[in-house]
Amino acid sequence: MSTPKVFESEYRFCLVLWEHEPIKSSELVNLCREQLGWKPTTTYTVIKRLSERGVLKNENTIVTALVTKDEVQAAEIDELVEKKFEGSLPAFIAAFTKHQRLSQRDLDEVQRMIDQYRREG
Amino acid sequence: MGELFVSIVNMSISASWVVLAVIILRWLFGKAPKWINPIFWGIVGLRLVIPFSMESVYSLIPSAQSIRVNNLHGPVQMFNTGIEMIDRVVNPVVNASLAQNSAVSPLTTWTSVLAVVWISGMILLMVYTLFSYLRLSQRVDTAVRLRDNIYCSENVTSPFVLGFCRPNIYLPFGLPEKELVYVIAHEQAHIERRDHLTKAIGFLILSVHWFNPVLWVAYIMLCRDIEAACDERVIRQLNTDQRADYSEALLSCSVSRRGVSACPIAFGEQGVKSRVKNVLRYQKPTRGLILLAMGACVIVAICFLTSPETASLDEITEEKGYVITGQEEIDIILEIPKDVLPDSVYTDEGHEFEENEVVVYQTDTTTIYLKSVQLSNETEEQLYFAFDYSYDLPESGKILIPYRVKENGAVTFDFDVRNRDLTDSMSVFADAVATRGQGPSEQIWLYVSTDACKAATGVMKIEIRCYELTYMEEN
Repeated sequence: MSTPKVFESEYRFCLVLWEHEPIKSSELVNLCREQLGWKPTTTYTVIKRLSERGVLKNENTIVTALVTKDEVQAAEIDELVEKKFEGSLPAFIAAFTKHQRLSQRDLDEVQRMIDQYRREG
Repeated sequence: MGELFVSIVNMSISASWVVLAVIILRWLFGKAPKWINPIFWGIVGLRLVIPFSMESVYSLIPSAQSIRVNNLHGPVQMFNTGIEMIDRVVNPVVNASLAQNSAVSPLTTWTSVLAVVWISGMILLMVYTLFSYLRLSQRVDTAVRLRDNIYCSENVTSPFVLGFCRPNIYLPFGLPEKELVYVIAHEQAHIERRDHLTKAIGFLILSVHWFNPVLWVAYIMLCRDIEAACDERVIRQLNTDQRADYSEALLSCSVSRRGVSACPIAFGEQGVKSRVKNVLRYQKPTRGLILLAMGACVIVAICFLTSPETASLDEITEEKGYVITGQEEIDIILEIPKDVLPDSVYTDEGHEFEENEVVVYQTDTTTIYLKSVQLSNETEEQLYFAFDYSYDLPESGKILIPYRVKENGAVTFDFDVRNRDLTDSMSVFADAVATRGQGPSEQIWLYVSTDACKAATGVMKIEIRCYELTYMEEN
């Protein structure tokens, strides 16, 4: 029996839910707007998504959680890797500008530069 | 469409010269404050967007119109890059590979095809970008607000700014406290400098000129310079220790580690090592250096936003500082494509063409074009063909004129047909052409037999004799 995984932002949503459940979905939307900065459509989408995943249920516009805080684990970052975006450049441009994964030697060199700078200013 | 494409290509080529200059200047002014560099790139952008420009003797652009395409048969002077070596080599090759006998100018077909390719590429690129933007926008829908306009989302690897009117900062979850404050400062600097707008405009211009690799290089350099300028803006107000902290934030962000606590990729996507070096070496630039750099901007603008001057024929025939060093009788063949003549030419009404619309002969300085055709008012059996000249003159060269310059400097009209034949691709219409003397300015008139003209197909050729004048700047 595996507990449903929740992404970090959905976890923040759940925190709001746990504090106020059971709650009318329209009020939940207002709370999410205040505390999370979410648009109403976003909140409704998330409610739907989480209900499909079995994290909450939405009956007659009343939302209640189906799992407790202890049961939920934030999804591991491994799963998120393929959804990552390269920031503000369109993906294929970012491909041209290679992300420099610095080698250990480079890392050490730069760290030395910084340390020296700290000492000498 | 084809013409639009050609002018875009010419603008692209002009701008490429500017890019070259900017790259050199950028290297020379390595010590100058980094916010100067995007201004140089702004000049490149202007060159790409403004279709016209003032002429100036200080212009460093080799040629305002590197490629010229006309509705023309026969030898073409398509490449006029301003670099003689290139022109001399490329033009004969282009001529050799074009079929000479087809009814539709192969050059026009080529440009139309390329124009379609260009537009498709541009639209594809723009659609793809719009798509990516919308998708990204959707992915950060569930981002949770930290404070003000700063949001966190699990879908964010490296921090960025999104949105044009009300830009928001998007961060990954779990950034260590120590780095958070610097990352936010850096992204705020982007917003204050309006970099999100600059990059968007730059990319828009780039998608129009997507075929030019030099401009892609320029765009990538622009992005690097923007990152460096933002770094400087942040650390300007930091003391030594804080600058060291900022550098460490840059460094730790570049280590690819997994786990929620790490920020997997550097904030800003560009070379971490050079950015750290820049930060550590930063010193407030002296006023003198800033003035020097701004002066360089102004000079670049003058030299590259203007076009090279061209001399007018008047200046030559009036010998204003020009010397005519030679003249030679020359035989040329005027080529008139039959299919440009509408039926109205066989009436009194006749038809007038736009300047340079139907080019019948061309060298790199002189263009002879068909101006109008109408029924002669003396007899229905003859058509009046009027031709005119236009010039694109460098400081020295050769031009064709229907005049002869006499020993005493006086100029007299001297032009005739070599023979009275009208030839087309299949036959010779003997005795179909006659001259009648000169019109206003450089216009020349020919009488052509109506029947011969109606019967001719393909390209009609008329042999004429005029003069080729060699001139150069005095002293």
